[in-house]
Amino acid sequence: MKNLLRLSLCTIAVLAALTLPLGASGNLETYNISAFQPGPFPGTVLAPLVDIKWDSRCISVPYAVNDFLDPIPNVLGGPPLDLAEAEDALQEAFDVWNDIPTSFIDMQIVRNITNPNPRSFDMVNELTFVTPPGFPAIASSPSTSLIADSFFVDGDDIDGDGDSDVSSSLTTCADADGDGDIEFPEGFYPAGTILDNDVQFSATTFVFTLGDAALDTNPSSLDLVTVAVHEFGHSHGVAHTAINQISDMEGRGSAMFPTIDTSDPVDQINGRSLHIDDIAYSSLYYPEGISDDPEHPGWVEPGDIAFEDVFTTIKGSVTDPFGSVMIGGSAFAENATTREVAVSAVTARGQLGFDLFTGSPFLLPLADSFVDDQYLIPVPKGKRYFVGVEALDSEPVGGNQVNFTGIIGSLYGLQIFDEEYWAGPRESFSDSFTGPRYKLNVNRPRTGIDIVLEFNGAITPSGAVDAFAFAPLGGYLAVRIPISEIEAFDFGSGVRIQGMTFPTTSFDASSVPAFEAAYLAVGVDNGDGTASIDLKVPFREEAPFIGQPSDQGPVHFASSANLGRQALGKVKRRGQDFFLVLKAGPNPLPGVSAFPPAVGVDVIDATAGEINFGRSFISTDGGVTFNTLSSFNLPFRLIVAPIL
Amino acid sequence: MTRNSVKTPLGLLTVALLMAAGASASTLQLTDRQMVDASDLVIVGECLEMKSEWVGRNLMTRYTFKVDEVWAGQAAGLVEVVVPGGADANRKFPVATVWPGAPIFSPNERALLMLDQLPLLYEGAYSVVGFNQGRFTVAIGPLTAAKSSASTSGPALQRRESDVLSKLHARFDDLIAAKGAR
Repeated sequence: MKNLLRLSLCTIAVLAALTLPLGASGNLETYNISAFQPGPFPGTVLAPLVDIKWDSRCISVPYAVNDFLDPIPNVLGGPPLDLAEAEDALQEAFDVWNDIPTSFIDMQIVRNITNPNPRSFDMVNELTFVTPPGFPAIASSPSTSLIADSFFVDGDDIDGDGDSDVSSSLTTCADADGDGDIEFPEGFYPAGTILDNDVQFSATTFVFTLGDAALDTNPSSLDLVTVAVHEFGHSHGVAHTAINQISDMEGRGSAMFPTIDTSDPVDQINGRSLHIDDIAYSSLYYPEGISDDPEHPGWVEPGDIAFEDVFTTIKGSVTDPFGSVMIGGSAFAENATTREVAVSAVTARGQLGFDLFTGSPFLLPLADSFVDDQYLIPVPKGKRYFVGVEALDSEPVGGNQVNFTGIIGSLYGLQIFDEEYWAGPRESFSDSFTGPRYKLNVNRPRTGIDIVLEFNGAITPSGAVDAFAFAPLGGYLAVRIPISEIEAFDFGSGVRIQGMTFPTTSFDASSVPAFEAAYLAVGVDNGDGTASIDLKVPFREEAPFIGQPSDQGPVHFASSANLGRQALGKVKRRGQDFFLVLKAGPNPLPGVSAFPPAVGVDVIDATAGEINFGRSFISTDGGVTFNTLSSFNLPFRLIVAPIL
Repeated sequence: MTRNSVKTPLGLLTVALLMAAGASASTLQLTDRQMVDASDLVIVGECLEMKSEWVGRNLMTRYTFKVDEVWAGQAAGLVEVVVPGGADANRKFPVATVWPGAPIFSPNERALLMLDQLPLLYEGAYSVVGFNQGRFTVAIGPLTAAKSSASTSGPALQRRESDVLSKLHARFDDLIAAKGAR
């Protein structure tokens, strides 16, 4: 405590210049308690969140490979993995990041150590196949970083082992005294500076393979380079991202998407390389061209490209219809020409309370839970983008999987909105569910791209998705939406029928969940367990319909106000209802399993009081007869909004 | 997903009960059944306090939960849950260790927890099954009187809690019963 006070007073002048928030994006975060601003309780302070990253003086970041296990045992009984080969693979994975021309991150294996124990905070950056008993992960990349701005002086012991970790004779991090751990140069280091990163791979539960020939569908074996590329992203501060499907034709995602399909060789091959989202964040935090000093790693050498020559940024806020800041959502930029998702960013920059005595963070009142309402998306410049936002709602990624700001949004239950796009000058809480999408020319930093979430709601006769199901080939699934439920959104000026969403997934992570068609149709519930639905003249049709893996795939309706006005009256006059219909067809882009895409269902558990709403139907005769599903409610959703 | 799917013909649909879409790069993604089977204890509890501590040269965080409901296993009173990572502000250079994807609870958080007894270092303490997968937040309670508001307390919140718990019961009760029967 005493030390902390001293530290805070020493560095307060520096703080003013260095802690200006830059907008939230896609980095791992930690607390910054430097300002020592009192929190809501005695002994607590406010802790704005900051990115963790390596100081430029520690780049190139030296790593040691633990050779305690050599060869690395094979838990499936096959041949063990030679450590030298594994080491080559690990450096290959480092080089995937090192080779980004716009990023000056550089991570190198420089030596071996022999350590029978699991990783620890010891100022040695260790790559190890030794994990503690009960290790719950395939691999992990914990980083220990400063949580207060600090000034290191010669002889300081940072990790508390009695050995100096700072040398005034150094200008870059190095093992100056030859004792195996890394010494830092004397000087100032901001909160968030990584002091020690270790990456552990669990050889007690998994087999790590090398090369294409070893790829298989055994879920307990996976490609070492793929896993290492992901973990080494964390090693230099890059957080998880929500991008798991680049476009309607491309099922791969970002290397920093939280899951790898261990049963899908193609997904593992994809994971060996970086998506533009990965490249953008590594480059944003370690930008080439940041320094004119040839000794600085950010000086542009042959083969490098200055960050600013390639990238620029999109910045703005996301607020709910009532003006509250949306903390921990996922803003994204989508290439308006190719329709590929380019880069995503966490919305707003969070703030937590921090108990100085227990070292514990805690949630602050919502209004105090952010220090910056801006998101910041780094994107390749010279292109046009659609900008949008989706919830980090666990479909496919939850805020607690991304960073601390994501955790705040998740714990506060803020992530319950539908994906939507920025509408340009027309952006408001009642522009439209998803549009009109506005094409944003991005040749320079763009600010003020402020998204206001729609004031809308979803109509669905179902609970949450708790299972996935395959519809029979050529079969139809349908959900009835009574007119009366739509009319409930009419506050006197009419209703927009904005779109519909279908929960979908694909069995293989590298393939997209493609369906033959999705319809907004009309029909009647015959009252005898069947429904008659007019599929010949649907109000809206999207064919094919490409869903989203482990997410609600949207269909956006143009002219939503007209649809509401004209369709609603017409359907009501005829005594009909709307039906949301999905047609399953042959998968045009099957993955390794050859399974068709799947639909999310809510399994009715009568013992738990769940009821069959009788509004979910299936047809297996080409849409002639629709029968009520007895065991499921289908979580199809119609998105509607009052016209205000 | 292929690893864990349970495909059972049920009427006209074939269902794969909510399964993993693969393995997380950090953790093995578990099915509900695997989570239940891996649990020594399943409770609904409220996080009362938390404390970071050094275990050797690793920062860990110890959370104390008040047990409100026991769905499986045996527990009463308080349960301790230990999670990798934590922070220490009481040292010359304050530090935190961040494990990407590890659970972080908030005081007053009420959650369904699937817990695994920890070996060796933490007698009597538990870890969350599957890193963060065996944690299902039910509600966040008010931290201070000033913060207590319509958005975080009152009938609406109680309804929401009740809804969330009902869904969790529907999701896990049969699996827990099946495990007990084995």
